[in-house]
Amino acid sequence: MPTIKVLIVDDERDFAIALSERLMLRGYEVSTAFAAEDALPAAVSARPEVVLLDMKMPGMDCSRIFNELKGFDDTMEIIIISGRLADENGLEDIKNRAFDYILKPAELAEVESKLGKAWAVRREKTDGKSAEKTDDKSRGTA
Amino acid sequence: MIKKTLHDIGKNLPSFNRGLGQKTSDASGYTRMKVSLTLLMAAISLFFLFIVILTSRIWLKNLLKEDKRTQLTWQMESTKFSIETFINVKLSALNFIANERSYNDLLNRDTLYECFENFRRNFGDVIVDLGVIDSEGIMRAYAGPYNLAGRNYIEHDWFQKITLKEFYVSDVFMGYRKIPHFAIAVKKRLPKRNDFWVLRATIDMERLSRLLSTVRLKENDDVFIINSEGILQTPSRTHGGEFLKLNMQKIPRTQSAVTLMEAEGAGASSSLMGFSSIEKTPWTLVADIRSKEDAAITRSFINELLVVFILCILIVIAITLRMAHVMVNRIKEADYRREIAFSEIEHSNKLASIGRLSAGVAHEINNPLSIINQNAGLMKDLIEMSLPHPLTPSHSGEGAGGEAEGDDPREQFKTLIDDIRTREKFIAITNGILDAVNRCRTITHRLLGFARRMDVTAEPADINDTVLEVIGFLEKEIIFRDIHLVKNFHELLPVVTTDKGQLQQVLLNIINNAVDAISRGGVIEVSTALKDEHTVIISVRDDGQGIPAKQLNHIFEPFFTTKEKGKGTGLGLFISYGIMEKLGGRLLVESEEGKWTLFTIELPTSTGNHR
Repeated sequence: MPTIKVLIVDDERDFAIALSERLMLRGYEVSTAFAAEDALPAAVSARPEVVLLDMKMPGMDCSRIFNELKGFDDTMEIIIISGRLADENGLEDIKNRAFDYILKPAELAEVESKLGKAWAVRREKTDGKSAEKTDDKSRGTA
Repeated sequence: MIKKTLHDIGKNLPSFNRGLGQKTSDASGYTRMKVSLTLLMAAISLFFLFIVILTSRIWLKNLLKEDKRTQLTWQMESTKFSIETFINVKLSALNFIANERSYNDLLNRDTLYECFENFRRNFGDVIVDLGVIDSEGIMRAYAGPYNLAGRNYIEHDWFQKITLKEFYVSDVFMGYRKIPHFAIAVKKRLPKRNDFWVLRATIDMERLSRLLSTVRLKENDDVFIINSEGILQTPSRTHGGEFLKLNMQKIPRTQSAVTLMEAEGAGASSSLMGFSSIEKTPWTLVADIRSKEDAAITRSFINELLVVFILCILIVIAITLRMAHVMVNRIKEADYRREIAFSEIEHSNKLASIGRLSAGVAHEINNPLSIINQNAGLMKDLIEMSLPHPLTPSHSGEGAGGEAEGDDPREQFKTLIDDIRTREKFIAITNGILDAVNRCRTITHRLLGFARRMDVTAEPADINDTVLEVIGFLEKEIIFRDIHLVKNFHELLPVVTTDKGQLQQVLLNIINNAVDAISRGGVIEVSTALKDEHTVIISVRDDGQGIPAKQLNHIFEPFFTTKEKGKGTGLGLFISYGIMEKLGGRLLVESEEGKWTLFTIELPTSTGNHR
């Protein structure tokens, strides 16, 4: 079973810690960030494959964090988690680009399922890219 | 006094400019309105009716006056004609005799007597005597009861006059035996001698007087004859007995037509006088009409009018009462419907507020719930994953299946729990759960408190606490949007008696607007202060987008909103304004577009009678 690397970005510490422990018990590799400004540095150091991003954090708005993360590594799949529904201002632009949406309180089964799917999709994308690279390489030599 | 009455009526008429929250629900208000309307409309109708009646009466009076004058003219003409005929006939007869017989014949006493008898036979006792007078004025022959033969009339006025004319009618004089007479005479020429002679007859005035008295007279009216000097020829009831000079300023010189004149008579009454000179005589016929125009006609006219008037009043009042009733009922209904509409608007606005609150609250509660969820799940994970066999949910006493190999789950669980790290971990997790529950409790209690206060009326309130509670509701939103909230509370505010719930509704609306105006970053300053010893001020200032000057006048209007469709009802400020008025306070706004907006709530320390 491949290890899925996850980054949880949420300002509710208790929630993020509890969730990360539960995921780790199940074999995920989890890192956490408890503030908006810590999201990017955490991503840089942990290189997660999927990000669980809380929508309502003070400091920076969700769109900006989203774009920063995607700007850093476009292959990262980002799942939005939140206590509110998605039809708030400023979410239109990222709604389409986020992988999925989870409403709090989240059932662990749902979280795992979505993490799995996101990882698979990412795998496909990255495999496709490396396949291209290999092709290029193989074409390159000769 | 009229002004005051009109003012009172005006006060009770329907006012079309009632603001939010004014109730006219007491029945007496509507009754007063009905009565005022009826009185006003009745008064107007009656006023015009009255004018019509007045005009009719004046018109009738004038008509009757005209009629009186016309009647008088006819009667006088008729009387004058009768008198003239009377005189003419006598004169003609005299003329006839003078023509038929010669002077010498008539000097014969017997002949004269014969003529006299003939005269009398024809005209009756009206002829008193008959005489022949020569040009020296001497009565040469006489037939009659008196002894006038030989009398000399040369000095007499009438003789002087007849020398100039062909015939003559004299003024009335007192004859023998004190009976009023007048004389008529004809002059005949004796061409051969260049001389003349006069045939004279004396006429009893009484017949003429009787003629006058047949003129239809009312009690106060009078008809008499005067001569050219104004001396009465016949007795007058009102102007003295015979031969008295008529007491009158001006006797009009009349031709043969009737002249009418209004005159101030003796006493206070004015009379209508008619004058007509009688042909061939030195007389003027005078009528003095004192009686008023037929009062009976006027009276009965007025009576009938009064009846009609009263009937009209009753009809007008009945109709206007009915109309007023219908109209006021419509107004009552409209007022009622409007009140219902307003309370529905208030209600739906409350619901909208609650809706917004609820969404916020749900989110706030979701977070603690997630924490509880994950923590509980973690506890379950730890226990489950630490044991070789899954714990079955059945009771330990039952001896669940699958533990055959001697692994007593209870023993293993005990081992697990005895591990101090485990214990500490579990305690930490449980504490996390309890903390989350506490967070929820705060939120639900706050919400309950707010809900409870939706219905309550006036109660003493600490303003600063009230404001803080509202801020508490919006805290998350404010923090999320990175808004810096500055609190500037006056330490020594007096206790205010007011409807806390409604005040908080207003504050919620205003602070929410401030948050929306800023959207991100920025400062909201909430201050409380004391304007004077009876007024407290709460102000909310934001440095958001401001309000353009020409919109400032409209923001308190219902359904006025600058938000896009679907966001906001446009009623928040309208209702807030209404609530502040109800509480006896004010809601004011100032703003500079693009820079800042300041909302100021003024609240009296006691709501008092402002409801």
